[in-house]
Amino acid sequence: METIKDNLLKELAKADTWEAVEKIRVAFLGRQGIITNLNKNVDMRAMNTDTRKAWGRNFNTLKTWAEDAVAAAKANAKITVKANVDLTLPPAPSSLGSVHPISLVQIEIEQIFQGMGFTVGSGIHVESEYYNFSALNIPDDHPAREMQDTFWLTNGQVLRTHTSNMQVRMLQNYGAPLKAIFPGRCFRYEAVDASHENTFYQVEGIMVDHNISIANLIAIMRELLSSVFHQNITVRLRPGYFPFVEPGFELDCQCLICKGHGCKTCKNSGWIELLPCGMIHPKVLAEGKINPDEYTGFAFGLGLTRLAMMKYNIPEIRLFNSGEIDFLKQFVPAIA
Amino acid sequence: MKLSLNWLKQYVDLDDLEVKQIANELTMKTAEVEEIHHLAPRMDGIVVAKVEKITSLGDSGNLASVHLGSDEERLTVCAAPNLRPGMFSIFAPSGTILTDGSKVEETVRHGHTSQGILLSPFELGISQYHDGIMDLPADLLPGTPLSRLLPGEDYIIELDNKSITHRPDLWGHYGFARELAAIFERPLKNLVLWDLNTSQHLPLYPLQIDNMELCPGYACIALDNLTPSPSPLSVQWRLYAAGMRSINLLVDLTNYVMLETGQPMHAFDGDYITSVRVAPLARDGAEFTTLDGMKRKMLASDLMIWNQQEPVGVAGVMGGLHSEVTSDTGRILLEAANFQPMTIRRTAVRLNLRTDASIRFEKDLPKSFTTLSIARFLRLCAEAGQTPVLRSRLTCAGAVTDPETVISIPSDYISRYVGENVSGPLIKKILTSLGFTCQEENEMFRVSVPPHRSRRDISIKQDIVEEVARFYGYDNIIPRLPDAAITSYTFNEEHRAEHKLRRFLSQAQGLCEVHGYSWYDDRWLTELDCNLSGPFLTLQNPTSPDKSKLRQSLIPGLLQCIRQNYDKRQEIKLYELGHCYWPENDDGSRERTFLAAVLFQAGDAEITEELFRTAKAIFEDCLRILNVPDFNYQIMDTTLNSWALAASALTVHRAEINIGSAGYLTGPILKAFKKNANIAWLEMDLTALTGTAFPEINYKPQSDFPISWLDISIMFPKAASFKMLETRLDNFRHELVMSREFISFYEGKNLDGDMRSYTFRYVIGSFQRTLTTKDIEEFRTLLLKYLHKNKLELRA
Repeated sequence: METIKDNLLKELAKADTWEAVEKIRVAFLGRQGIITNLNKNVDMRAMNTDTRKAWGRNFNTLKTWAEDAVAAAKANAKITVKANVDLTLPPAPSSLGSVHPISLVQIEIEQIFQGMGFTVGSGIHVESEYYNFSALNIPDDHPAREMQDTFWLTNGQVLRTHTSNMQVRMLQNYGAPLKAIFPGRCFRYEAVDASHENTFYQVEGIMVDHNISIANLIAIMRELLSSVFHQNITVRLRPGYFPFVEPGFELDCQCLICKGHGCKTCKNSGWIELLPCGMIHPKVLAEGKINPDEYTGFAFGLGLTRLAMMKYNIPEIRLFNSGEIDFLKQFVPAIA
Repeated sequence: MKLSLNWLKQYVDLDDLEVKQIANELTMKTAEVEEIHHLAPRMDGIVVAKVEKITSLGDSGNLASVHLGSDEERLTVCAAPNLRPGMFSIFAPSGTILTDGSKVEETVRHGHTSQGILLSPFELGISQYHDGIMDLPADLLPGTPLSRLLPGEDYIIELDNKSITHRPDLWGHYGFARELAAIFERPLKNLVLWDLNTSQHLPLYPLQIDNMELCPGYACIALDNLTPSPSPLSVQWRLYAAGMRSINLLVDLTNYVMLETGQPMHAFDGDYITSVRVAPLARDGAEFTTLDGMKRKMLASDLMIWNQQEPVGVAGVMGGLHSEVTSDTGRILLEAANFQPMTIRRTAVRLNLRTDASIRFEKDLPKSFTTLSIARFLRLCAEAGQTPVLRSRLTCAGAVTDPETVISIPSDYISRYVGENVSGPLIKKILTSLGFTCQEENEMFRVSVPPHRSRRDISIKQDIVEEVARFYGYDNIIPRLPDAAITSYTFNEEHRAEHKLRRFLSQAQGLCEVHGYSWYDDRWLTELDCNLSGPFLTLQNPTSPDKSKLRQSLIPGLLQCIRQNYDKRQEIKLYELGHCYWPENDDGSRERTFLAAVLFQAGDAEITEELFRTAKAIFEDCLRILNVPDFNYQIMDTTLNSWALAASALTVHRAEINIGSAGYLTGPILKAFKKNANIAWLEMDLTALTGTAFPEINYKPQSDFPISWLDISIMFPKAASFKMLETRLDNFRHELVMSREFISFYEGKNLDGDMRSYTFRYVIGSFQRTLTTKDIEEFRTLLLKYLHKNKLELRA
């Protein structure tokens, strides 16, 4: 057995490639290998119990020792790599396409609100004057109803000017308590330029329950924005006027670029005007068949198009509907 | 809206505060401040001057000698249209540095040395107006340094008009002073008024309102013994600071009062006008010349101010030229009225004449502002050195006071609504500082609304909450997440389906998501040789006349994207998820969500078939993803439009309902694209596809025994269609067949031109045993026998 050991060590010392070591393994430990054969060639029956046991022990020690030696040699041996595969070649064409930037922010917002238990609603674009204006306490003589602000259809309907058209519809359909968001496309009769589009996206949100307060509104908005911008966001409310909320607010967030110290982006104010919101006007609740003495609620409207511009640093609103593939291709469809 | 800080300080003491702090508090509590301008004209060396002699220099203006006090005189060449001998103005001698940094040079013009210039408001640096020189009252001493007559500086606080659209009281300085007094907890000084009771013994002025709905109230008074004069410099400064201009004392004072109270006023020439009637014009098409000299086409519904049978003003918008107060008017009729906002707005918008007056009338002004403003005008008139004589009583028609509004609020309501404990005394203190009166009894607040807050602004208890909350400070409200019970969650399957498709198309299939407009572009449809018959939902006011039809397919928009992008690319794959629109009944509509995809590849026409197969695969996979398993195809047998010709597209049905179609472009439509363009498309109606969110799969066990397979290639005429071949193969049945898969087809070299070779793989096996060579051989023999019998020839 010692000779075998010596021979194996000598052989292994000579072998410097993986293939050479493998050959040695076969020679010693293979089915017809020197070590394997040792056991086969011994007549166990001729041995007494003790001798047989001793032989068995020795054989196993040798075999284990040999296997370890081969494994160690293999670990150190060189493996020849076929040189005909160029790892530096570019990958095969990607099978990833792209998803519209609005879809990206919309899905993100939906997931944030779903996490807080808000239902996601759909919305229609062609709307009656009632749901787009009257139900929202927007008076007949409000400038928004005029032709220069609204697309009117020849049948008397309008292209909705905001996602708020769904507020009363949702309240009528689902009743209170309710927490829901409804994203979608909106329209304004407006000349198109770098920062104005006649077709854009918003997400509307409402929460109606017993004792919903302004403090609740601020908290939910802070959660939303902190999730959207992946950092803690400081928000502030200031007075804003919209007929369908009372009181109404403009919600500002501390400028993400200068952290409130004042810079070009925030026009040195330290704040960015982000979204209009407020406590749902009792007339709107009543239109939604909700008793305003029993329930209160808040509503907000976030411009998805504007949010996408902020998040992805897009300077030009016209790009969204341009169909320019060079623009669209940049939005990797990394949707969770 | 522009506010002069000096003006605000007249009513509330703000001397110790920085303008930035004032602006910030206004933004946080009242209305958004957009900008602050510093008004600080350079006045060194600039003095009051009296214009003495004027010599005309023809077209190039006049040579004027100006008197600067003592014996000093200067010559100046001046082209201002309002230059006249005897007038008082302001003079900058040569060498003076003006506000904009430029230096007044001594120049020789037309042979005369100009030793300085008379200044316009613009040159003085207090206004944009540059069409005449400053015109001052004659009670000044020539040579007086300007710095002794004007405050050295002012700050102009510019507000976002949208943020005060519901607050008519904030369209004047006094309203903002009231807010600032409440914000900084300081006393508000009264507006000093003329006592109108002194006119009680005088006769009424002839006044009549024909339509009380359009004109709920009107107040006027006739004045006499007025001396024509320019306004005092301090009045001019404030008008210019607020963005207006100075005309003459009487006109200026109407504007000045408007800038204080928010109530527009008008002064008619008292010699011209003898009575007042307020009534709509009642006939269309009449022309009316407004005091800006423009002829305006009026409508029957426009509300007018009449003198006897003659209209003398467009109510709430602008006065008429003939009754205008000029620089020599000594008698006026002074009016302050209340009009229905909508009628004023309608006329002003139509005439494209949004004046300072009309903008304010649109806000629904308090009625009590009418008499208040008249009393204020008279007081200012006296302060300017005038001694007006009243020729009539203060004459009112309709309502000139506001009904009292009282709002009751449960004591704890405000705290609950805000989400913060606001104490009763604090609530009372805030409301009182804003002019409300507030009493608490039986756990209720009784709040009465002051007349300066209009009906529209404050009418319900939530309005009172706002007043309290904004002064409590929104910043002081601690954010609190709502308490909520755990409830089951209902997903919106429509949204989920859309997002599933997005993932599949964008992540796995490499398509690019596009957004198109919701309307067709008729010019593009014409290029596509497409004549869609409708009926459509149609826009009354489209962005252009050829973009008025709301879309009923997403395909044209996607095709437009293809053409716009294909010059740089060999291959384009696009999709859109969007709404399509149909009319329903006379005044309704129906909307459906569509998914459409368009595939483009440059190359020979032969590749179209493969491109269409890709489109078809995407269609089927979308249906699988939506868990819509059962559907069938039909070749379109009638032409729908230029992209879906008969025999160039398939329609897809599910339980008799059409759920979509897929096809390729051929025929005239291809003229819209370059020659080597191959385009396939698919479109499906997601609204018709309601599958489950997650699949309902029933696992089928595999055989435990090895399976085997057999590939065969069959020759079949291309024109006969794959479908027909498949049907024939379907009739071969054998117990060992586990599946039959189509592998590929081949045409071209070595094959008859009309034939294709289709390769199929038969997977054979058994659930009971391992197949023997004999089993496989027997199967093969049977299959070949079947093919032979059915005249299906194997490829050699």
